[in-house]
Formats: sequence, C-alpha cells, structure tokens
Amino acid sequence: MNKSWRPRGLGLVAAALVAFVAVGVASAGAATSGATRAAQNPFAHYGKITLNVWSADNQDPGPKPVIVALANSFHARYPNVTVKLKFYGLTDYLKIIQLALNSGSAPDVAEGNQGYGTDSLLVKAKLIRPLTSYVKQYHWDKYFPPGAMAQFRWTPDGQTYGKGPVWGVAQFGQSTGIFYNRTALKKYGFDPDKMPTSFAGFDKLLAQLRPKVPKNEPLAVIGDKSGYESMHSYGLVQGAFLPAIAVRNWIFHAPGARYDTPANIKALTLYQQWFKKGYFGNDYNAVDENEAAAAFAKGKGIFYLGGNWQAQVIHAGLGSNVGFMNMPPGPSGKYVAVGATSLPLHISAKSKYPDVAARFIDWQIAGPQSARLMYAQNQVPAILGAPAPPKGNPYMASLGKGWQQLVKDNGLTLFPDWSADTMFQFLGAQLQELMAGRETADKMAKAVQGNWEAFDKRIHKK
Amino acid sequence: MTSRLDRYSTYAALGLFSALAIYPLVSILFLAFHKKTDNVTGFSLPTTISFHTFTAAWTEGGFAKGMWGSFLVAASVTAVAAALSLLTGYALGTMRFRGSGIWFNLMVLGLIFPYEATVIPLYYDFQDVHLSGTYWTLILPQIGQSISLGTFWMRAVFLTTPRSLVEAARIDGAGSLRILRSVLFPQVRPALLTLCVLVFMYTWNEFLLALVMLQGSNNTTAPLGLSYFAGVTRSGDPTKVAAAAVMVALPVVAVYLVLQRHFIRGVLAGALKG
Amino acid sequence: MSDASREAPRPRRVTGRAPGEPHRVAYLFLLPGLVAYVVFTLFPVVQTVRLSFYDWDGITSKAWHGLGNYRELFGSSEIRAAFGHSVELILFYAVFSLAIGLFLTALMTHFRVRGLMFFRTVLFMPQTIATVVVAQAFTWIYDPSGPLDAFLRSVGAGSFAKVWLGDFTWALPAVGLIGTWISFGLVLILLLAGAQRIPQELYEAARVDGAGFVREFVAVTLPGVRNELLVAATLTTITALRNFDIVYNTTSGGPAGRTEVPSWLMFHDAFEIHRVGLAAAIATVLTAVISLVALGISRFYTEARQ
Repeated sequence: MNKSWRPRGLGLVAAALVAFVAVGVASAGAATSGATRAAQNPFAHYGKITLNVWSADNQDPGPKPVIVALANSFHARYPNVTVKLKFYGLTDYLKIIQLALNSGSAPDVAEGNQGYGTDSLLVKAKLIRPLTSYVKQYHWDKYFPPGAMAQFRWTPDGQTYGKGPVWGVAQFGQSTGIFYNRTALKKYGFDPDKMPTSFAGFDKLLAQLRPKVPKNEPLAVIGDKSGYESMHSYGLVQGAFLPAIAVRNWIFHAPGARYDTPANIKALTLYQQWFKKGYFGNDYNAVDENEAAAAFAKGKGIFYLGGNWQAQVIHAGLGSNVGFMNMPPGPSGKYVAVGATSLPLHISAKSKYPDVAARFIDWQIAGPQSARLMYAQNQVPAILGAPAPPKGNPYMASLGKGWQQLVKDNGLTLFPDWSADTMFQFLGAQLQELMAGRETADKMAKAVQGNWEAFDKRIHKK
Repeated sequence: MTSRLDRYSTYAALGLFSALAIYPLVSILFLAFHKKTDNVTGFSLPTTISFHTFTAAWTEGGFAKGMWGSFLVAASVTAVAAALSLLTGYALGTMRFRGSGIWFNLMVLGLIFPYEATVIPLYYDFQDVHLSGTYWTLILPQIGQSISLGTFWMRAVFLTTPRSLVEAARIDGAGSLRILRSVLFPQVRPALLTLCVLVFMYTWNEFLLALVMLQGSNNTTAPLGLSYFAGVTRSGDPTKVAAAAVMVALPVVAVYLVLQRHFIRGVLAGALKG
Repeated sequence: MSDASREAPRPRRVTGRAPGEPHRVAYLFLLPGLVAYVVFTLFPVVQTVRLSFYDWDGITSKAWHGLGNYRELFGSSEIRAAFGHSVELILFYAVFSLAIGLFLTALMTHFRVRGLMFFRTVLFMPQTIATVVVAQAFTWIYDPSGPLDAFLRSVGAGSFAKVWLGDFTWALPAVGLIGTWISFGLVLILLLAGAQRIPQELYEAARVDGAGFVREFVAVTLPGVRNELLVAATLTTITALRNFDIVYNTTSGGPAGRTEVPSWLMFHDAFEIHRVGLAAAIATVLTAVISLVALGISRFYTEARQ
C-alpha cells in the first residue's frame, strides 16, 4: 500500500510544484505583460480623455479623410483617448485660430500657418509650446531637412523667422502645379502625352489653345474670391523668372530682399498678359478655391493651376482623364513653384496632455499606414523617407514626382503671404488688381514691397 | 373716381414688387430641391420634390444645435427684455419724476448704437469673466440693446393709455405695481406682444454678435451655423447650402406669417413715437 | 382700412402730478432695465472709445498709442474708401427704398386696394429673413450660372451678364441692391402707417379741386407722412452705414476691397489681423457718423400732430 502513496505524494508535490511554477510564471507573465501593456499605452494613466484637434485641411476627398482615418487608428491604439476633430475652411480657420488658442476652450492640437500672419503671433503670445523635446523623442529632424525645418522655427519672441526652436511639424507635401484635362486637350488637337517641357513651351501652348477654344470658356480655372489662390498660379509663372531662394529670402526677411526686382516685374507683367488674353475667363473672382477645383473636376476649362491638395477632388470628377505635372522649368532649368509642407501642427500651451498631443502629431505625420492612407487619397507625404507610392497609380506617381522634383531642385518657394502679418490679404488684393488690369506690374510690385518694408521696420524695431 | 387703367397698373406694380420680394426665397427653395449632380442653371425648375438635401444639410451642418442655440437665446432675450421694457416704459410713460427726460434719452441712445460699437470690448470682457463662448455672451448684450427698443416702444404705448383710469385706481388706493398689473397691462398687452415678435426676430437673425462671441466655440446659432456651412460646402454642393438657408429662415418667417396680422396692426396702431 | 377712420389717440403729456402719484418708486421700475442697458450696451461703447487709443493685438499686453490709430485711419486710403462705399450704399438702402416705398404708398392711398393685408405681408417679408439667408439667396442669384444672368440672356441682353459679385465696378451696386430689397418693405410699412392717419377729407378736398394722382400725392400724402418718412430715412441710412452681415457673407469686402465697409473692416482688423486698437477707432468713427446722421435727420422731426 506504500507504493500507491508515494507516487500520489510525489504527484501532489509535483502538482503543487507545477502549480506553483505555473502561478509564478503566470504572475510573472502578468507582471511583464502588465509592464508591456503600460509600455504599450503610456497614456493610460490619464484615464479617459478627449483630445481636441482642429484642422483647416478640409478638402474631402483629399487630406480630410486621411486625418480622420489616422485619428481613428490612434484611438484604436490608445483606447482611452477619444479624438475630437474639427474642420474649417482656410479663411475661416485663420480668422479664429489665434483667439481660440487664447480662450478657455483651446484645442489641444491645432494647425497654424507658417509665417508672420499666424504662427508669429502664436509664438509671441505663448499660445503654443516649443516642441524641442518631442523633436528629439520622435526623431522629427530626420523627417525634415534643415531647409524645410526652418519654416517651423521661431525665436521665442516671435520676431525672427527661421531660427530658434521648432514649434510645429507638418503632414502633407503641398506644392502647386498644372492639372490638365486630357480629354479636353485631345479635343483641341493636342497630345496630352507630349506636354511642354519648358515654361516657354507652356506659354506657347496657351497661346495656341486660346483661338481654338470658344471665347466664353476659360483655358485655366482658378478660384480667387478670397484673393489667395492667385498666389499659387502666379508662383508658377514667377518660377520661370526667379530662383526659389529669392522668394524664400524675401519671406524670411533676409536683408536686402526685394519684391520689386526687374525679374519679378517681368514675371508679373507676363502674368497680367495671361489675363488680358482671356486665358482665365472672367468669373475667377466670384468663386473660391474649392469651388474652382470642383468646377474643373466637372469639366470646366482645360487646366487647373493650383495645389496638389485638390488632387483627389479633381480625380473624383475627372477620373483617369486628368494628368498632373509641375510647371516646366524656365531658362534656369530648375523646377520652381509655390509650395511647402501643409499647415504645421502645434500643441496648445494650455493642453493638459501635451505628450498625448505630441504622439498624435507623430501619428499623423509618420504613423502606421499614414503614407498608404495619403496615397489612397492622392496626397503626398511631407516626410523624408516615406515609402514610395504603390505601383499602378500613374496619377499618384505624377503627384509624388512633382513634389520630389521640387525638393530635389530646392525649388519650393514656400508661400509669399508668410512674409508679413497682413500680407495674406494685401498680396491677394494686389494680385487681383493686377489681374484685372487695373494696376501696372511696376506699381503693384512697389506696393507689395512697401507693405513688406513697413512690416520689416516693425519687427526690427521691437 | 379711379380709372380702370389706374387700378390695373396699381395691381400690376404691387404684383411686380411682391414677386420681387418673394423671389429670392423661392429661388433658393427651388435650388434646394435639386440634386447635387444636376447642372443647375438660371431658372431650372426642380423635377422632383425631394427633401434629401434638407436632411443632409441638417445633419452635416449641425443645425439641431444651431436651432436650439438660436431658440434659447431668442426666447431668453425676448422674455427678459420684454419684462424689463414693460417696467421702464411704465415708469417713463406714466410717472413724472425728475430727470425722466434725460433717462429716456439716455436709454434710447442704444437705438443708434450698432453692435459694431460694442462687440470688441464685449468679447474681451466676457473672456475676463470666463464666459467666452457661452450663450450668455449673446443673451446679455442683446437684452441690453433690446431694452432701448423696448423702452422706446412701451413708453410710447403707455403714453396713449387713458390717464383717468390710472387716477381712478390711485384714488382707490392702488399701488403702482397693482395699477400696472390690473389696470394697464391689459391695455398694453397687444403692443407688448408686438414688441416680443420684433425682439424675437431681431435676436434670431443676429449674426455679427454670434460670429464674434462664438468663434471657435461648440455653441452656435442657426445663422452662424449657416455661414460656416456655406463656407465649407457651397463649392461641393450648393443645393445643400440652399436647403440649409431655407431651414434657417423658416422659423421666423413662420412666426411672422402666423402673427403678421397682429404684428402689422401693432405697428400701425401708432406706436411710432406717438 | 377701418383704422383710418378712427382718430389716433392724442399723446398725453405727463404734466402735473395727480394726488398720490408716485415719483421715487419710478426709479425702482426703471432700474433693472437701466442697469442691464448701461452694463451691456452703454459701457461697452465707452470701452470701445477707450480701446481706440491703444495699440493691441488682443492677446499680449496693450500699449498706449494716443491718436495714432486715428491718424492711421484718416490717412489710410483703404479705410477712407470703405467709408466712401458706405455712403454709396446709402443711395441703395435709403434713397431707392424710400423712392419705392413712396411710390407704392402713393398707389395704395389713391384708392382702396383689395388685398391690402396680403400685399403688406408679402412686401414686408424681406425684413424678417436672416441676413445670412439673404446673402446665400443673392449669391445664387448673382452667380454666373444663376437666375439674373440667365434672365439677361433670355431677353437678349446677354452682353450685360456679369460676374456681379466679382466685378470691380458692379460688386458694390450689386450689394447695394440687396439692401434695397431688404429695406423697401420697412419703408412701405412705416409710410402706410402714417398715411393711414391722413383724414380722408383731405383727399376728397384735393380731388374736388381736380388734383390728379401726382398732385394728390405731393399735396396730401407727402406732408402727412413726413414724420414717418424721416424715421424711414433714419433707419435705412443707419442700416446702410452698418451693413456687416451682407458684405461678410457675399464678397468679404472683395474684389480687392471694392466692397469693404467700415463695419467689415472693424471686424477684420479686430479679429482677423489682430489690430484691436485700430478696429476700435473705426468703430468709434462709425458710431459717431451714425449718431450724427440720426440726430441730424431727427432735427427735422416734429412732435406736433395734425
């Protein structure tokens, strides 16, 4: 009878041992998975929180679905964080964002606008946080070369642009170019696969098209009701006459930078000629940017001269009948156009969860699937080292190529309205006068330079 | 003796201007009945009466919130301003006291001051007391402004009430409040109702104040919501914006149509600085 | 028009104090309304004037600027132009509306019009529609693919078709016509109110004397509605000088500032480019102009009734 006890006892001990080990392993496992879980959600200690995010990238289709999708995946990753997104039209957004960030209901993450119109005041009034520690933590300096990163830098007094800490980073590569309606080109006897390779060639193409197209139809569509869209189409002309560095120096208030240079005046004169010759029709002042892109998508005009953030809206209408290209280079042989990254994402100084906000920003610009989501909406990622677009989408390939060409040639002029606090409205209005033939190029350039100089005095006085 | 020609041309002229008065509303109503994909031009009449633009606009524009906000503000302002104007009008219209003329002129000054004259400091004042973005920022200033109109209006009405009634009641020993409540209120009630309609309408339709006070807030009013919605949506879908516009106009127009008889009679009853 | 026969009650002058008539208690009735008004309407006006002497972005601290904002205001061609636009708009909001109102009043007093209630209701309706809605409606009407241009083309005047709200010359008149549309109903109601009080005998006497349509209007109606005409002129002129909502929701001051008006500039300067002091100065000048106009017109106003 002893025989049967020993195995049982051993069995019990073994069982106890196994149980003990099992429990030990399990609790160790629980400890480690608890630890990894905590590492997996470093924000869990906040409990249930809401992250308020504001954006002006409201084109849908386009950037907006990308932002929404990434917000959803962010929430899936950090379930205790609910992301509340609010989208506005650009001009409305720029009106309200500064006061909103100063109020009691400031969003946690908000886009700003590079330049002296918006970001300067946000920095000066300490409404947003410097992102130095997060740049280090998330290696954002790897995503933006120094020249590009400069657009996010301000000295803490908000006076000097291009130097100092980084205050925001951006998500999309936004450049301007030519969208062309392939069917329309064929209709008038031109081969869309043989687009001009020089600026002079494109100028000539417009001249050849004008007599063939019915008088009341524009060749190129833009929507300049709010005044700013003309900066984009003008930039395409300006790029044939000026190097991008000239415009960037002017934006950053490098000493001696001028708007009324002979080269720029020549470019303005030619631009004015395009309107006199009727290339743009005459209702461009009655519609705004989004309306114009939508009209082009419905078949109006042959070209849309504007930003690649409209790419998906246009694609939704014209499908495979649309092509995209940069404005071909002028005599310099380099690609130049208005463009930069999209509006920078800032963290409000009042946010209770800046670390969550920073992770959200990182997620938007370089999170999992972010590039894929952008390509699906025909948007270009801003960051260096983003995966290439999937094959089989020539439209996306051309958009990506356009951006890459400009980056390679250092041809992104950035946006001229960044150069002064009132330049957004002032330059827009001046361009409208020029386009309507109510002001000479010479006078217009001098007026713009005058506005720049008045502002220049103010920032150098303080 | 008026000739046939006189009559016909009169009705023709009246008809023409009436048509012009209604046309803009009708045109956006038609636009709202179109589908987004229709190529709407000029006078195109809608082919079907479908309300899907209205439901889409309602949800996308968040108009449930806007309508509620408008209603909350308009109702509060109307109630309070009417009540306070009743009191001030009563005092200035029936009682003689030193400086009454000055007080009246002071209060009527507000009729001249547009919101443009007050909106900037009001925005920052409300921010200082941590009320920015709340509906108080709309209710309180509009009460203040409406009291100007209300005082002007009610005083004029009280001036037309028969003195004899008041004196008789006083001789009977009735106090001022009692006189107001029992003797005079029934007399001025129609005019008070007219005032309520006017204040409600002006408050509902007020835009500048809402734009400034509620910028970036989660609260909104119907006109403000429409402005934002139009800015974002018109390029993609003008039919939805038209539907939204019709919905925003509807409440006041409905109130006006129902009460217009009363409303117009009130205006015509000589409450004009009489 | 049964009211016309009823004599309007004579306004009672508050003179002399009847036995037991209170005076101090009047202040109690006056106070609540007065306080609300002073705190939320009068005091902010004073604050606006005060702000106009500062240089402020609304967020960081204020800096005393003396008359600097006013100097800039009067020296700025943009701001002066905006005031000029407002004056132009008076033509549309006030003059045209008054003309239409007077014309319709003349028609409606010439003989007994059937369906008066209907016409009055319809013609006054534009006053009840929110300005944002009006802006949307007219943006559509003025659209190049909208009813106005379609109408012009259909009557063979296609060459007149324009991009109204984007046209350098015609944007301001286009905006002005919106104001005419809004205002003429108000003018009409006011004038009819006055016309109602004109005793029928005066018309009969004039007709016996052989007065035709025009003469009877000039000799009987016009003098009789004098006060109402002045009130209408005041209200419409003030609306013309303000006019924020329509400009904001149609043209945003464009193209290139051709439809900028002071109230829009004030908003833009205060809340869009953050120059609060300058905006306050614009608001102050605007209010002063409006006050002068209102007081100026009311000087012609008589208390006496016929």
